[in-house]
Amino acid sequence: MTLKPLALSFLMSGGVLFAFVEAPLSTAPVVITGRQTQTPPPGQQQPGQIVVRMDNAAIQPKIAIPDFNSAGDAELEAAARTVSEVLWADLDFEKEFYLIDRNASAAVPPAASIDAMPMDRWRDLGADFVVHATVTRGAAGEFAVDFRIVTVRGTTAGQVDFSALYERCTIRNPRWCAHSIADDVHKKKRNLDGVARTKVAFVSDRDNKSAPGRQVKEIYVMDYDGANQRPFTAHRSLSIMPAWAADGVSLAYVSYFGGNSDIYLTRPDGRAPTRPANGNMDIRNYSPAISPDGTRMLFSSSRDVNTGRTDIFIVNIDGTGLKNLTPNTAASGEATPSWSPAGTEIVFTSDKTGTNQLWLMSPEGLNLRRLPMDKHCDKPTWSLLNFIAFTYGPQDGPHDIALYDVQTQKVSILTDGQGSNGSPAVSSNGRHVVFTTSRYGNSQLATVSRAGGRPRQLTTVGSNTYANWSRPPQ
Amino acid sequence: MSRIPTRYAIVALLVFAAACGKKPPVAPPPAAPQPFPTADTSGTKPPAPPARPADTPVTSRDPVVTSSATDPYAGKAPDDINKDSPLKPVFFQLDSDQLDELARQTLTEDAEVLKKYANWVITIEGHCDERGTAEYNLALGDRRAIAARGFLISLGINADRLRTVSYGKEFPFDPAQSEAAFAKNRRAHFTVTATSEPR
Repeated sequence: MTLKPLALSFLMSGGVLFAFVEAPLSTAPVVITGRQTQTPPPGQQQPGQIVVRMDNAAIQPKIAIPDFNSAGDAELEAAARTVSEVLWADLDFEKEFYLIDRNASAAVPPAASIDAMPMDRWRDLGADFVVHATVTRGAAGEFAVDFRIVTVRGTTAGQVDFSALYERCTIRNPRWCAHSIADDVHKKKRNLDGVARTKVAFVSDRDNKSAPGRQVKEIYVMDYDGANQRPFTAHRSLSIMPAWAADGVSLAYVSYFGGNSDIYLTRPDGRAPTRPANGNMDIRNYSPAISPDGTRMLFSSSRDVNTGRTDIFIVNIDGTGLKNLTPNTAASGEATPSWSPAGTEIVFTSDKTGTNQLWLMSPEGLNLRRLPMDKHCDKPTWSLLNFIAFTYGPQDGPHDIALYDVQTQKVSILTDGQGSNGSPAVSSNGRHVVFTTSRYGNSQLATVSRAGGRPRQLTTVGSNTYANWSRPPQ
Repeated sequence: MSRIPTRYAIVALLVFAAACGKKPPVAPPPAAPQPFPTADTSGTKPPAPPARPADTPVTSRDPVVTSSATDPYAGKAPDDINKDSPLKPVFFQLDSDQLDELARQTLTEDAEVLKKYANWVITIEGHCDERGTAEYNLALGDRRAIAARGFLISLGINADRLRTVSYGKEFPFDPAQSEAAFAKNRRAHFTVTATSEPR
């Protein structure tokens, strides 16, 4: 069962709230039936193998994705073309397959049936597999994709290696159809949890022209590949630090629209957001992080009017059970907490040694220990695959994204020293990092894979920061 | 990539009940919007939006300090007062929240203005230059605003009149990439956010 994600925008006018519900871009789940697969998928990847797998074209099965067959209806054909293009990009993103160039594929004559496919042409292009898909209309505005992966070479050439019927795709949202197929193919053929259906929340000033002279930044949401960038808040104030909950739908964020920085937590059923950190004009709350089981929230808070320094607090999602986890630290600032994958540890920053360093502690605030680094560190984020991504560099920059492997205790630098790079968030499958970078001229968001290499730019308009990556819908 | 045009439907006029845990009854600045005001949440058909609540009227008598007949700020709303920038900002060294001699001098002058206009409630904004991470600069901005606030209190200004907020490096005053621009951005900035009964 999937909750329809609602984007709720709140406008303040004369002290009264109007809630505007954005008509969702139909992301109802695609219905998958009749799936069959001939070859079993490889065993589950160990975290240490990810980089090796992503970097090694020699072991990636080579797959071609030509245009899908459709019945000559122009609107359906356009939707089908989007599905094939986006599917190609989704598979290319994870580097589990090697994708045959689309232009080369276009030169091969299409075939109405699998038997009629010119396998010699596909072999010439180096493909191991080729997709054969047929698209037909269903109920109004919907279509189905009859999808096959066909073996190109060897003793089983011409046989169907994988087949599935994807129904309830919509003409209005063909990208969602492609993302659903990509996640299914990755799971069934490569034993990989893909991220094609995930979202990135971020902060942007791109629309503050509507409020000249006002200090306005809003929370935005986009697909993992940068498509569908759209506003999520309309507070006409500063809103920052979005943090998805594990359900992939609820979003916590910091906003100043109530007068000072407080944390708001949206709810998937459309009810009003709550304020679990219960801020007021004398309190500044930052950096929400919802626990993996969704019951508690970590955050940093400045409740000392004399020093302004923050401590790490924990609170139940309903606002009860507030506890300061770093008391007795009046002279230092503790900030940016992040949960371990099982919710049994916390990583955070403290400047008690003179500059920001990474520290670990239990959710009770016990067993405090430092992860020694030789430079300023900030915004640690603990990936589900048990490594910690963080901002790393001299205090005043430029910075890079670094990774700390909790198992091996080794540190590696992920970005390449171009521009200043920080505020990382990691995809749910641990294979990609989204981050803020100045390499394109001003502040933009980009993703880079765990294997390193050239980042992919996601945003281009305005100044964009504070990315956070959702999990796939449950 | 163009944004998908959003279709809004006003589903309901929602007036939110206060979140769990009532806030302590701090006097809110009348000109600023209130978060989640308590009110009735029932009813599905949206009634016509109520008229904007009237601002709390500024006292018609003279403020505590006798002013000349040409008091330029009498009866003015905060937005109008701020257009004049009656309170001067103070600036900081890189990575520092320390008030240097010039900063203390400026704050002393600002304190005189605040004593003269005893009905002003102000917000002290802490700002930073763009070096350093966004998160680090939010913390530094907090410390800068609080340093300025502490000094004003030591000069006799009532603490209840002085709010602080940090904007980190989110809203630089000068977006240029020069030392001169960076220096302008490392500041505590003062805005009048309410005019109320003198305290």
